[in-house]
Amino acid sequence: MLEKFNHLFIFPEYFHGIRLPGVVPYIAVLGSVGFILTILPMLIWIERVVLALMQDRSGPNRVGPRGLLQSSADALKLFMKEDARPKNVDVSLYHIAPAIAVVTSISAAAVLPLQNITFEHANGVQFSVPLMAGDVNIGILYILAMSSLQVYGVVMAGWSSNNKYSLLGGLRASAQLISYELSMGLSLLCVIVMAGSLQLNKIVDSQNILPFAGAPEALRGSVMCWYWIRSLIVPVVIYTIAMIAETNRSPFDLPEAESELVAGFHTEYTSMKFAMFFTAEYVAMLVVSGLNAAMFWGGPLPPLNVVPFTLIPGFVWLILKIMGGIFFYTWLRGTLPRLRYDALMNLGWKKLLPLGLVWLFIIAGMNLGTDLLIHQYPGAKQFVPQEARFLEPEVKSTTSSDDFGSVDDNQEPVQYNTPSSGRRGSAPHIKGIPVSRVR
Amino acid sequence: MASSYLPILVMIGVATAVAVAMVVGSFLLGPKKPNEYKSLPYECGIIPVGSARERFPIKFYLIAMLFIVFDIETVFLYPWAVTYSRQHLAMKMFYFSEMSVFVVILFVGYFYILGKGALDWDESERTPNTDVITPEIVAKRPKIRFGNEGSGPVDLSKVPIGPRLPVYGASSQEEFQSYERQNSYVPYTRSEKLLK
Repeated sequence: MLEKFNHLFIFPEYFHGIRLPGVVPYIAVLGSVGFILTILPMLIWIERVVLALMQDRSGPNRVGPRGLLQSSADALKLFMKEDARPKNVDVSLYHIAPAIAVVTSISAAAVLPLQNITFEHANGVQFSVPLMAGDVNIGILYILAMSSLQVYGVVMAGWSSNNKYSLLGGLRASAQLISYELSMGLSLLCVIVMAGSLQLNKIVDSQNILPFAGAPEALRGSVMCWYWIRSLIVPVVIYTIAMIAETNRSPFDLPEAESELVAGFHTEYTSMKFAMFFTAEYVAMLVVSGLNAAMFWGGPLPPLNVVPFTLIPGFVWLILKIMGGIFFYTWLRGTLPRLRYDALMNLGWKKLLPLGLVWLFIIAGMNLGTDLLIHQYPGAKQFVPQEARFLEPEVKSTTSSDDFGSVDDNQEPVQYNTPSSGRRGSAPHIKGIPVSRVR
Repeated sequence: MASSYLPILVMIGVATAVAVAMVVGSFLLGPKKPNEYKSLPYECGIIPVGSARERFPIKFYLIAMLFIVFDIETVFLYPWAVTYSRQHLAMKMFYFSEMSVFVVILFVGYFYILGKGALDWDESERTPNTDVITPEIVAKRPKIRFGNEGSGPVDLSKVPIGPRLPVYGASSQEEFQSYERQNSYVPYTRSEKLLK
């Protein structure tokens, strides 16, 4: 990933006795939480400005240049407001609900791959470490689990508020969230079948391939290698619809339908507790857009592997793709009217769910069909994308110790020719240390 | 491998700290002037009526139950999807056929609930379930009403105003009780009826 940039900045493995690769995840933790909290006012500003442009009005233009500080001023104002609590609420649930919403949405960002950082061992061997908080082999399960836990915040807020609108909003939100979680999972499964891993870093790596054998290097990991086109577009459409419904945004903002339910599940929340639900919603938007970018749009990969693009570091590409997702959200909000609730449920259960399940089997059948074709005509290998499975076709069971399922530490991890594990091309073996061991 | 989960725990800890800071910060900085009207639940400015913990449609329970079925199915699909692409050709064909059988069975159930109308949110789209409930039974059912929905203008003279205060000075205990019965809406208990 991003070799040219990485070769400009190569860090030593040890710095004053501290092993730098071990510090990388904690830098990612601080970086991502800090980025999320600083970008939030900016996001709200972007949304308001884009909506204003679409509706032909000025938008925020008083505080700061072009109203840029408006959202920060709003947040500060909310800090200063009274935390009014209505009577007869279920006190403990009422206080815990916004905290659950914030904690689950922020911590879901832990497994998004930002970029790779190259280090140099003392003997000259280079290896790269992903800049992400948790490079775990259950990355997608973790994100899905965290986004499921958000239902608890919503339900607890709706139930504990002692308000009819809150209760109805909470019920609607929970039914909507669990309905669209299914189609979301199925559309992600289409990619998982192709990538063979739940680890987001590996899924990004599996998009960093040549589109066909003998293709120019400029096309390695380019737009046409990303899963949005390799999974034949339908999963990315399903995922995009499901991600908008999961975050309760327009046109699926039924839980907060102002015209019927005042503000839905957070009607009774004031001051910072209201802002916490607001925060959770925007952070969830960031996270699902980030997952979209990593799964379908190449994550930190540049659209073309040529010099002006590769000089931009990976996390900037990821942020650009996330911002594209945020713009898409705003675009839809400015364009589409709100759905009726039965139409929402029909779309989720009667259309997206069977479509996702059928498409998963189309993808699996394509995978099988390609293998059958290559088995029959080995010459066909050069016309299909160079995936990892074709580089090492004779592998018994491609277990590396950090793969899902079978764990076999004694076996040497299979060394794919993917750039995340050392230099691209010929793997440097210096003094008998294989690259796969260094990492 | 377990060490790679530690940063995630740190991340959850940082997120919790952020949440706590938000709650505590607004608690410390904001004014605290509660009054009676502020603490009423918001119902568009009118005095709230009844309890907020109302009954709600059974469709939400139904959706939750169906979600569990399909979510478990998705959970079965995850390990299959991860191991599928790295199998030999023969093993891959076996994997594919096995999961096809599972999904075909699942689709049979899906079309069953679709035919039963469990996924129809709108009642008018739903085909009546002719196995158990006939149209006659449906016609005989009392219409379920919530509150005073559809009852039209209320005749105030017939509105119960609750039990009146008992008249003191009744000559006997029995007279007092009978007076109380007439003026309150407490029906006879079964044992009292039998005694009469």
